[in-house]
Formats: sequence, structure tokens, C-alpha cells
Amino acid sequence: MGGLLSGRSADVEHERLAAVILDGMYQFVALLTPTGDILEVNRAALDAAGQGIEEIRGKPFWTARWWEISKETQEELKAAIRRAAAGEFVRYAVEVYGEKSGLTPITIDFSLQPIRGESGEIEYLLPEGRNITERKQAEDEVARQAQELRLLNERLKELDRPKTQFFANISHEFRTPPTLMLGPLEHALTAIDADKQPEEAAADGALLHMNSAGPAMVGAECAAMVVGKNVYDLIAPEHRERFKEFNERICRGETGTLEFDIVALDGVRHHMETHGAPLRNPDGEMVQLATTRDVTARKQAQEKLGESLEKLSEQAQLLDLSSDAILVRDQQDRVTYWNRGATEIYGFTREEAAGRVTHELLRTEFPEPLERIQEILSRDGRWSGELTHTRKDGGKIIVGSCWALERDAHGKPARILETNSEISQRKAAEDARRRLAAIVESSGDAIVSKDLHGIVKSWNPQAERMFGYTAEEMIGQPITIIVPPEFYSDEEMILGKIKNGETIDHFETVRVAKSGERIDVSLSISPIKDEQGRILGAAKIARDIREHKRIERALRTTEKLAAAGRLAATVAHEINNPLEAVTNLIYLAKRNLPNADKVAAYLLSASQELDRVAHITRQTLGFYRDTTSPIRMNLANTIDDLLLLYEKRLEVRHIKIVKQFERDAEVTAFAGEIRQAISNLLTNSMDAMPAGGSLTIRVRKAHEWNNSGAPGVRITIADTGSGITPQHRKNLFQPFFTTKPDVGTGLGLWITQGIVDKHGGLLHLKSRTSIGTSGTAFSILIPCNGKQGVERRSLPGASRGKVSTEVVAR
Amino acid sequence: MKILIVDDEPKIAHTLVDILRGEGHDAISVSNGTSALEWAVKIVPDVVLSDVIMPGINGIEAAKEIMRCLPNCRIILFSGQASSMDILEQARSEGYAFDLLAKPVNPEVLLSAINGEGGEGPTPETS
Repeated sequence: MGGLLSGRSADVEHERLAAVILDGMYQFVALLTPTGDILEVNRAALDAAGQGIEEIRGKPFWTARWWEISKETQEELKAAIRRAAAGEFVRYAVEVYGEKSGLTPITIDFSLQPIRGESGEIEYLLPEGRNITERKQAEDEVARQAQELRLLNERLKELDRPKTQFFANISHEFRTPPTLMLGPLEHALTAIDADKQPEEAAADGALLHMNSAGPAMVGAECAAMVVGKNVYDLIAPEHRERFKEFNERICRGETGTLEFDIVALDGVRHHMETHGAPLRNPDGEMVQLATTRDVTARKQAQEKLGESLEKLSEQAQLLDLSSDAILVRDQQDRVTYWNRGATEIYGFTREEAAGRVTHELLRTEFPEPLERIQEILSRDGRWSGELTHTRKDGGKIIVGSCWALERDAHGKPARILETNSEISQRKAAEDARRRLAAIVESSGDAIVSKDLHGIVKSWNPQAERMFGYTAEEMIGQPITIIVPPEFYSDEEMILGKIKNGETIDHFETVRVAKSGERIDVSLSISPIKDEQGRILGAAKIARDIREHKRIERALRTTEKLAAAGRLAATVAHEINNPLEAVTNLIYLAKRNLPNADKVAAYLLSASQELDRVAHITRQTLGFYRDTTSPIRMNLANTIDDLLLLYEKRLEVRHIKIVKQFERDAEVTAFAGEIRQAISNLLTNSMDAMPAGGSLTIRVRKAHEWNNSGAPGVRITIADTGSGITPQHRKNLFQPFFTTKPDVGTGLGLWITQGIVDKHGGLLHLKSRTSIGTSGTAFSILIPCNGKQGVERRSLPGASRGKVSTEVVAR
Repeated sequence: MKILIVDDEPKIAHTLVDILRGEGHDAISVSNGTSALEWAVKIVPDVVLSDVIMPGINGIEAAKEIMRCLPNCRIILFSGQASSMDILEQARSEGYAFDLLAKPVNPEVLLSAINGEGGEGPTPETS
């Protein structure tokens, strides 16, 4: 590689030295024949291509790995070799495979220099490549950073905007850290040989050799333009003295580093950094090896960084406004930044936290192994999840943590930005707890919690008042203490539902107070879940509904009285008419005493009328004489008896009765109540047809009972009245809702619904108001073997008001 | 006196005809309001004795019409139903004053009402 020494005699030592320099350089250097065949390639270039010199020596340069990136690249190189072989210095930027053993493309500043022999013939071509990818990236990065800072500045002006929105973004801004700008922007290498006589070199500084980066640095087209010149001529005048001292130091056998400015041949000032080291060649002569790089870009970047840091300090103030903890840690997880939010959340000051390993400081508990988190972080550049941290005061908090990995210019992880927002919102949670406690304490409802085994866990003051047991007496005891034995199964049902995560609303049942008094309560029960959603127990709110029940009972009594009144009016007509006839017949018999035949006829007739009275009386008495337990009843007969009562009214109103009865349909039910329910629907239908019409009454055995298939009976009562308007329909089953205030109490349908519910039945309504086809049909489904024995409270799911209404509109 | 009896219960209508004829009155009966109007115009009775709640035209509507056609005809209503009182109140508010006897009516009371004894004022049984 003697050619490298630019025409000087190439002795062995010199070649050795050249090899040292070449292989010590981390830019790419090779030596080619004038036709482009490879003679030598330095280590850096071989490593970058992932090839050995034996593989490629003697082969055309453009077939080596670097140039395989594209056909065009290879063609361009061939052309460059032709030009260089003709004596031209060729230089261009090109993308080649130059990293990770030839797998990753890099951009190089490529030059091809013809080297002439002593005869002046071109003997070699010297290709050199300088990786400028990072510089390009760094330049891009600086530009990007500037842009982000500009955006940040704009954001600062818009601080009025919701703070949260801002802080959601700021972590992103931090993903590209200002330290990137500190990264090496350029790796230029310049080699300067000292004179064989160090003193001389120190004295006159004649430049013996310079590699190709050197000429570029000083603005020369080739090394030939500068080699042999006095190096001091290039150095900025104010730095010459320092450079000289440095040079002398090296020649005395020291090593050192110096930053200085040069003024290039083109007059441009460059900021340089040089590392000098003495080398003794085999002859024992002292040679100075200096690698110098142009750090102008770095210096500029540092200046830029200074500005950036100024801006960033504004940003840091801004970060202090965040209520989230924002911290930056280095690769060893040591805290390098700690905002005010972090101090507030964790209790550690910035000074206390700085330099500490965060996971130790905060005793971080990770949701998954740290190795896994780091894997994700290094793969995606981000990680987020929930962490448990321990505050300075020892309290544990759960935070939503977001990590962003910042890489340096080499792509190596540099530091991690971490923002933590407190999920447990300690303060808010405490406030909420206090408020909740106040509500529970002062509630007019008994509020009780129990675990999944029904053991009481809490018992509020109203529970104490309502049930007579103190909290001390109840906590730790089974809830069944207040459950009447006949309702134990309810408790199992409740716990079953709670275990399934279901809630229970307005479940009306009975509880027993310490005094033994039975209390009607409405229960709302919800599962209590932990943070993972596991069900721990149940919260139960019990409302004393005794008063409500009393009012309901009073209402029912009122309606019963009203119904009795209506019945009395109906019955009166039915009784008074026969009595009128009897009175007249007896008067006539008295007036005709001598005529025995006439008397006998009058008395017989009177007797028949009295039989009629007696029949009606029996019917009437049966009407409200209710059984205390359900009995088997024939529905067709029941309806016949009712129709007998209403016969007169139906006739007066010109209402035609259409009966479609399955006469053997029977149910087991409270007969009086069923009669009342049907009677209510019949009278409603009659009232709906003041101008006459047709009343169809159907009794059918039904088998699709509530999807359970259990047998039942459906009674349908359909009129041809004007129908029920939709706005009335929704209030229909409310107590005191009436469209006929003169005659109705507004309780009829409410009572009917209650009766149907009690029998586990279903009330269904169809109505249409279109003129010509209007009408309303109520149907009641009553299970054949409805609830028997003790009256059951309404169970959840079979609650009141489960009325299906169907709007049939045209 | 010529008396028209209106009641949809045949047994009541017939026994009343028997009673009134036995007292020497000229009595006939019809079973509804429409017939009552027809026959009242034909026979011009002195007294109309009518039930209130009947199919078709009710007793009070028929009575109002008869009063309009036959201003001299006396009208006595009788009823077995409390709701009759409401209809009567309605008629009174419209300016018609009818006597109302409650079924069962003692035939003696009925006869004295027909004879005009105490028939001008409300009878005790009308409550």
C-alpha cells in the first residue's frame, strides 16, 4: 500500500505505518487497480460488508457487497472508476450496504482518487467512504427538534387549553430528547504524520501525509494540495500557539486532545478536534499520529442545544404544573429529572430523588416481569401499565405509568421518560369515602354489607334503628338473624344472584326485628367487587315499606268498598224489581181474597219472584266472600255468574255478549280475587262501549305458560269500544288513574294487576284506536297451579308492572 | 183516570195494570220508552207511571218528551236503582221536576200519588 504515501518512496516501515493508520480508521478505504479490481480493503470496510479480503481480492470493486444495493449504484461506480482511471478526482454521496455485515444501508461520502506512480502513470485508484448517515440523521434530528420546540412554544401560548390535553401530549414531545443533539454529528478522521524528526515537526509542522478526509476538511481538492505545506498556515492565527504547544507535547511522548479552529483554503472557518499520539517506528524514530475531526457541526449543535435547553427550562416549568409525576431516568434507572407532581405524589423532593434508582426508591411492583417490560420498551419504544409505588410515608399508591424510551444518535437506548398518574387518586378517594360514609351514616335506609357467606360486614345506624340490633351485635353474624325462617330460601337466591354478579332491585320481602316485629322491606342488593372485578360480597339497602304497605292496603280496601258499592247498585236493581213485583202480587192477593184461584196464582208468581231474589242474593254474598286459601275454580262458570249480575246493564247498553268458553278450564286460585279481577275488566269493557257494541269473552286452556310450558288458562275480554290511546296506556295500571272520574276510583286495573301478579299470572293488553276497527282486549293468563298456600311476596323478575302492552296501529 | 204504565219487567207492568184497574182506573202498559211516547200521544193519559232504567229511550227522556207534548199529563217515575237519582238530578237541573218513587213501591203509596195526594212534593220514599 505504498501508493498511499503519495509518490514518496515506499519502504516496508512506511507501509506498516500506513496499514496501522488505515486499519485504525473507521472510515472505509481500499486500493484498486486502474481497471477497478480490488487490491486491498481496510478492516472497517470489510467488517461493514461482512466479507473477507480473500473473497473479493482481484474481483471488480462494483461486485463487492457494498454496491449490491442496486444496479444503478453499481453502474454509477463503474462510471466513476472510468473517470478516475482517466485522472479525475470523483466524489459523490451514495447509499451502500455498510453496516451490520452488509445488511443495512448507510449513506457514505464516497471519493475515488487516482494515484500516480513515479512515472506519472496512474498506478492505483484509492476509494474512500465516510459514513455520513448519522450526520444526516443528526441534521434531520436537529431540524425535527427545532420544529418540535417551535410547536412547544406555540403550545405554551395556548396554555389556556385544558391542561390535561397538554400533558397528554408532552410525553410525546419528550420522546426525542435534547441529548440527541449532543451525539457525535460527524466522524471525520484526519491523519497527520509528524516529521521523522519530531523537533522539526514541532518547529515547522510540515505536513507529511494526509488522508482524503483531510483535504475535504481544509477545503483542498486533494491531499497533494496540502501535503508538504506548513500545517500552521491552516490554523486560525489565535490558535497557532496552542497548537504548537500541543504538537511539542506529543513529540515528547505524551498523548492529548486539542480543540482549535482552522481557516480552510476556501476561507471557511472549521472547528476541529484532534487527538494526538506518539508512535515510534521500528527504526526507533518518533512519529506523531494525529486524528483530527471537524466538529463544527457538533459545536453548532451545542449552541443550538443551549437555545433548546433555555426553551426546555420553560418546558420544565410547565412540567411542574402537571399533577402527574413526570420523571426521567437513565439507562441505570437513576432519576435525572423529577417534576413537582412527582414530589407531590411520592413525597420525595427532587433532591432526594435525583440519582436514585427509581424502582428502589419507589419500591415499584410491576404487573409483569421487568424483563418483559424492558423487552416491550426496547421493541416498541413505549410501555404503559399499572404500577404500585410506595410513597415516602410508606403508603402504597397505584399509578398509571407510561414509559417512553429515548435513543441516542446511535440508536442506543439513552434514557426513559416516565409519566405516572395516580389512579388511586388518594385524596379524591378519601373525600369520596368520607362523603360516602356520611351518606351511609345518615341514610334513612338500612345499609348493610355482607360477604358471600351471608356474614354481616357493616351495619349502619338506620339498620340499628330499623332492626333493633346494634352494629356490634350484628357484625360477624349471619344476616339470617333478621330473616324469617320461611324466607331463608330467598337469602340463598339472593346470594346466588350476587355470586353471579347480578343486582336485585326493589325486592319486597319481610325481615324480623330484634323485638320480633315483622318489617316489610324493599331490598336493593348489589355485588361488591374488588379492583379485579372479583365479587367479595353484597351491599344491601333495606327500606322500611311498612307505611307504604299500609297505604297500599288502605287503597285496596277503598277499592273493595267502592266495588261493593258498585255491586250493591247493580244488585239493588236486580232485587228491587222482583220485590216490586212481589209487593204488587201480595197487594192483589189481598184485594182478591175471596177468589182462591186468583190468590193462588198471585202467590205462586210472588214465590217465583222471591226465588229470583234469593238466587241473586246468594250470588252477591259469594262475590266477596273470599277463601283464605286457593281453591279449584271453574272459570267459565265464574264468568257466567258475573254476567248474570251484569245482564241488565249489558241489555240497557245494547252490548252483545259473545262467549267462547272451554267449559272445563280450571285453575287453583283465590276465587274471590279472580272474580274481582275479571269483574273489573268486564265493567271496564262495558264502560268503554256506551253506545253499544260487542263483548267477546274467551276462556282457553293455554300451555305456553311463561316459556315454562306449565299449563294455565287464558281469559280474554275484548270490547269494540274506542280503544285506549297510547298516552293513557302507560298510566293504565297506576292507582287513581281513571278516564271516568264520575264512576271509577281509578283503582280497578291496579287491583287487577296486583291480583294477577299474586297468582304468578300475566296481564296482556292490546288496543287499537283506529276508527272502525277500534277496541281493547285484555287477557289474563293464570297458571293452573298457581302459587299456593302462603302469599308470596313479589319476587325479583316477577315484579309489579310487568304488563306487556301491544300497540296495534294501522 | 187514564194511566199509562211503562216498565220493561212484564210482571211489574201487568200487576200494576191489575191493581189500577181494580181501583177503577183505565190502565194500559208498554215495555219501553219508545212505545210509551207512541201510546201517550194516542191515548193522552192523565198520568204516566214509568220506570227509569230501560233499554232504548230511558224513562226520564220519555217523560220529558211526553211533558212537552202533553203539558197536562202528570208523570210519576219509579226506579229500583240508585243511578236513577243521578239522571233525575240532571233533569231537575234542566228544569224538569219529576217525582221519583223507589221500588218496591207500596201500592197504597202509589195509588195516593196517582190521586195527587202528596204527589206535588217529594215523596218520602224518593231518597
